[in-house]
Amino acid sequence: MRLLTHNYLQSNVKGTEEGYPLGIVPETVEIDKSPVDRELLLNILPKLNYDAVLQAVEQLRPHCETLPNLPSTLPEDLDDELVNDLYFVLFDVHVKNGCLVCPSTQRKFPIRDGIPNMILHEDEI
Amino acid sequence: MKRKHLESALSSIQREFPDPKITLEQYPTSPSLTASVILTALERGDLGPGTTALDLGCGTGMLTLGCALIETDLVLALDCDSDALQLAKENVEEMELETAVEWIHAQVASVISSSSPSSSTTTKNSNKSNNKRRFPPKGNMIQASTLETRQLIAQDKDGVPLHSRCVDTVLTNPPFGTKQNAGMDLRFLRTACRLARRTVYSFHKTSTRAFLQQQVTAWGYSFHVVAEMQFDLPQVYKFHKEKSRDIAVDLIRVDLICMENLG
Repeated sequence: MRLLTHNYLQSNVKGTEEGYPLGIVPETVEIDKSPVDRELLLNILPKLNYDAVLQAVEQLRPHCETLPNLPSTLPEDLDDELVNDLYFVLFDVHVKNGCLVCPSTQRKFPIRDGIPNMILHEDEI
Repeated sequence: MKRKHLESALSSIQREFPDPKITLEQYPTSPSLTASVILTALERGDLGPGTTALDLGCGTGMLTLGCALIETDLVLALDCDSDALQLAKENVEEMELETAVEWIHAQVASVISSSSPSSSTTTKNSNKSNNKRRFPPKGNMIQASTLETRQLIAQDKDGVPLHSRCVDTVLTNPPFGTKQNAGMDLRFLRTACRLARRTVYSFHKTSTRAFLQQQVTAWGYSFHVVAEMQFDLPQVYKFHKEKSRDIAVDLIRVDLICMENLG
């Protein structure tokens, strides 16, 4: 699971007031370095919640020392270094195993082999 | 990308469900059909570079792969069956594409509850209760009631753990709602409209066209039949008596941006 996906996921469990962003508790994190596509990154950035990206990075940091430091707000023009860092964080970091945690109910959603399991129980719909 | 290259790449994967589950209505989308949808969407700027997409109910990953092959920026794929998801993941990984494809194990609920108690729908009563919004009031009230419906849809608790309007385009080949699954085709369509910013492509039995058109129009979106086709449903399950069965199917496109229904 990339941080891109994490950015769109939320908990829809019945009675949840605010199921976003989900906390990440990583067990296995893998890095798969790919060539930076600047245009793609700039296209996708406006479609993301940046604060949630920052939060996710901090939660992965203990597990992943190579994570870059990101600015608390994005400047208008992104220099190459920032583009590379953002691309890396969003596309190249994969949470293979661990879980996602609802901020409101603490309900855990397991991640196995890179796939988050968000299937709800009958009483949660 | 040329159609024949796309079809050929799509044909090369393991698209048959090894052990199809009857209650989920599992059967693969053919390479030719997949190529048709993908190229139509690409032509209209709904897919490809600069866009993000979701395959809702991805099965073995045909539509997912189609999106990835034409270099969509990000493709999300969601299914409730972990076996299908696993196979789809293997299929896509074998192709070693650069496109980011992400997998989510989740389910479109068979009962959707929305914030207004009067508009909650169930599988049994789906036809009746949805007719409440059949004829929106005339004049200035059209705009208010349509926006209200859109807001309701945005807050649907449909079991799918994604933000509303999180991707540009949603593609889906939904269960047609046979046997125990009645109403699932509408559930999928409504959920798809919640999740997409720009457009939805979906397959539905031609026999349901008028009903779906009325529903989608009441939601304030524009509904177009892009193509009429025959689904040759193969003898997927042992109890099917005929070798294959032709069903008339529409490929529909819902435009979420078009404002023609507002005033």
